[in-house]
Amino acid sequence: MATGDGTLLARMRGVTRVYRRGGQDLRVLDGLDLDVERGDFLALMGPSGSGKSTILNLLGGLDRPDAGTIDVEGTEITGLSSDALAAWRARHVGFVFQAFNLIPVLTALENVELPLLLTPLSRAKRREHAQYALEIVGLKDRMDHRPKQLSGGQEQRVAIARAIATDPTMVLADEPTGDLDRASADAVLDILTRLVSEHGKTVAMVTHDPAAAKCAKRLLHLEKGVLVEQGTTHGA
Amino acid sequence: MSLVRLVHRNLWRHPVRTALTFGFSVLALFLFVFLVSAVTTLDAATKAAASHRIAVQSAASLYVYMPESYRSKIEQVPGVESTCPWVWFGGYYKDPADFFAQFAVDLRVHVDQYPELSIDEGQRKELFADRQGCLVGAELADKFGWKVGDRVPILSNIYTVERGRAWEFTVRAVYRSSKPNIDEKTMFFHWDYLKEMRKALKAQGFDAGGQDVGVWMTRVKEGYAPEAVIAAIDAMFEAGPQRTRTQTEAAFQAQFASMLGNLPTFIAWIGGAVLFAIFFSVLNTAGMAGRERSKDAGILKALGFRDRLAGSMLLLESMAVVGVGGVLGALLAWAASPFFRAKFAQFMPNYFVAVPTLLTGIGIALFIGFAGGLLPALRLTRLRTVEVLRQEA
Repeated sequence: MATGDGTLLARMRGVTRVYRRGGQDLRVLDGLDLDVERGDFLALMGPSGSGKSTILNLLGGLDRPDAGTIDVEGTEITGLSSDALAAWRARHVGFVFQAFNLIPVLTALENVELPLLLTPLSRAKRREHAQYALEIVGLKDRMDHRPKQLSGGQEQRVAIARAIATDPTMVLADEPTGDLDRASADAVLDILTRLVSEHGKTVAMVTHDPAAAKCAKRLLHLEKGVLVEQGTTHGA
Repeated sequence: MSLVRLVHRNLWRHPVRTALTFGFSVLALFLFVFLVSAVTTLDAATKAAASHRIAVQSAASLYVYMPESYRSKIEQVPGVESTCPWVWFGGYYKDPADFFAQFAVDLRVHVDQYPELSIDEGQRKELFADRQGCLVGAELADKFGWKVGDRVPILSNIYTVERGRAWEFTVRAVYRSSKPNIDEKTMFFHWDYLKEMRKALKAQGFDAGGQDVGVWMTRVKEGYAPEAVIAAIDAMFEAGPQRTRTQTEAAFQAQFASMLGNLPTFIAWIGGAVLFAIFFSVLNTAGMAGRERSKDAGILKALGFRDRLAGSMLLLESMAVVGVGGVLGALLAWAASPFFRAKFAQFMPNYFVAVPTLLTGIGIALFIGFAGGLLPALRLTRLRTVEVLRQEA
C-alpha cells in the first residue's frame, strides 16, 4: 500500500532508544522498524511517552538510537559525526515544534532566513527564498514583525516557512497544532497538506489531535515504543 | 541577516543589564589602569634616581634641620665630589590651592649635580648672575604663563614677611627634565637669597631657621662606592650635634612614597580587587545570558548549526560587552592622564600611563570578556538539543 510516490526515503530498522530517568532505564523505542516513502504524509499517534517524538528526533538526526539503523536517502545517519549530522540536518530536515521555537529578537523574515545562512546563497537570494517561504504560508505581509507581534497560528506558520526555506527532503512536525485554536490549527494543517500535495514534500507529524491525523495519508499508532497499528486515512 | 546581527540583537534583550555591565567594565578597567599607573609613577621616580647621588638628612626627621657647617665637613669626606643644600620654602603663587614645590639650593652646584636638567646656556648664566633669579620647570612656567624675565611674587608659609608680603623672584631660566626622578613643576632659587631672607626676618624678630639646611644632596666621585661614603658621613656625625641619616637618592625618594603608608601595595590590592569584582560580575551576567540562550541554542542546533556556534555567539556577546567596555576604560584612563597629572601634581607630579600598563589593561579586558563567557558558552555547546527543546516547550 503506497502512500507516497513508491520510492523509499527513510528506513528505520531495529531502532531502540533507552532513556535513563531517576536511575532507571526507560525503553522508549524497542526494535522499531519503519519505512517512509517520498511524498508521504505520516501521522504518529499514541499516548504520552509512547515514543512518537523520539521517532521524529531520530529521523531528523537530533537524537541517536542505542541500537538499530536509520537510513535516509542512502545515508546511514547514525554513523555520522556530530558536525556531519548537523550539516546533514541543515540540508535534509525542516523541524516544526509545538512551541514554535522562533528566535524572539529576530523578525519573521530573519527567522526564516536563519537556516539559509548555512547555504552558499547570497544575501539577496537568501532574502528571496525566505520571502517565498513566507508567501507559501500566507505571511509575506508580516515579514517584518517579531514573534511577539504575531498570533500563535501566525508564529507556527512562520515556523513552517523556516522549516521549508531550505527546500528540505523531510518536514518533521512535533504536535504542530498542540498550542493552537481550531481555526489556526486548520490553517496550519492546510499548509502541511499543501506541502505534500503541491510541493512534493514528505511530512511526518506527531499529534494527539484526531482531526489533524485525518489530514495525513498514513496513521501510525504507538504503544510503549512499539508500533501497534498502521493504516491509511481518507487523505491517502 | 547575519549571525552578528543576532548577537547584536541578543545584547539588547536586556538593555539595562547590558548597559550596566558595559559601564562597570569601563569603570573597572579605567580604575585598574589608573591605579597601576599611580604605582608605576611612584616607582619610576625611584628607579630613575641616580646611584651616585646621596641625600644627607637628620636622623631624627626630615623636618629637623642640620647646621650649615655640615657642608664643609661633608665635602671633606673621601669620595664626596660636591654637596648642595636643599631647603623647603613652602610658598605659593597667588592662590594657596595652586601648590608647587620651591627649594632654595646652591644653583651652581645643583645644575652640576643634575645633568638630566636641560637648561639654555644663556639662561644659565643669567640665573647664576641674578641673586633673586629662579629656575623653574617648563610645566610650571606653562601653568602660570611665566616667561624668562618675569617678576614672580611668592608668598611663603614659613618665611613670612610683614604679614603677607611676598618675596620677589625673577624667572631667569626654564628647565626640562629627561628623567622622571625630577619633575618639571618645581622652582629652585638661590640659597644665598634664602639666607638673606632669614637675616631680614631675624631682624624683625622672627626665627626662621637661621642658616639650617633640610637636606644635603651630595654627589659621589666616580670610582667610590656610595655605600662607603654614606657610612663615612653618618659615622662623622654620630656624635652630633645632629646625627644624620644618609641614603641613596632612590631610597630618599622612596621614603616619600612610604610616608603615604603602604599605599602603593594598597593601591595594587584595590586594582586587583576591582578586577576580581568585574570578573565575577561577568561570570554572573554571562551565566544568566547562557541560561536564557539555552532555547535559542537548541533551535540553532536543530536547524543544523554546529554545536560550537551557539557557544561562540555567547562568547562573542561577552567579548562585545566586557572586552570592548574594558578596552574603552583602559583607553579612557590613558587619555585622561594629563588631567590626573594636573589633578595630583602634589603627590604624583610625573603621573603617566605606561604603554605596558595600557596594553596589560587591554589584555585583561579581553581576557575577562573571554574567560567570563567561556563556561556558559561551553555549557551551551554541550547542551543536548532534544532535552533543551523538551524542557523549554
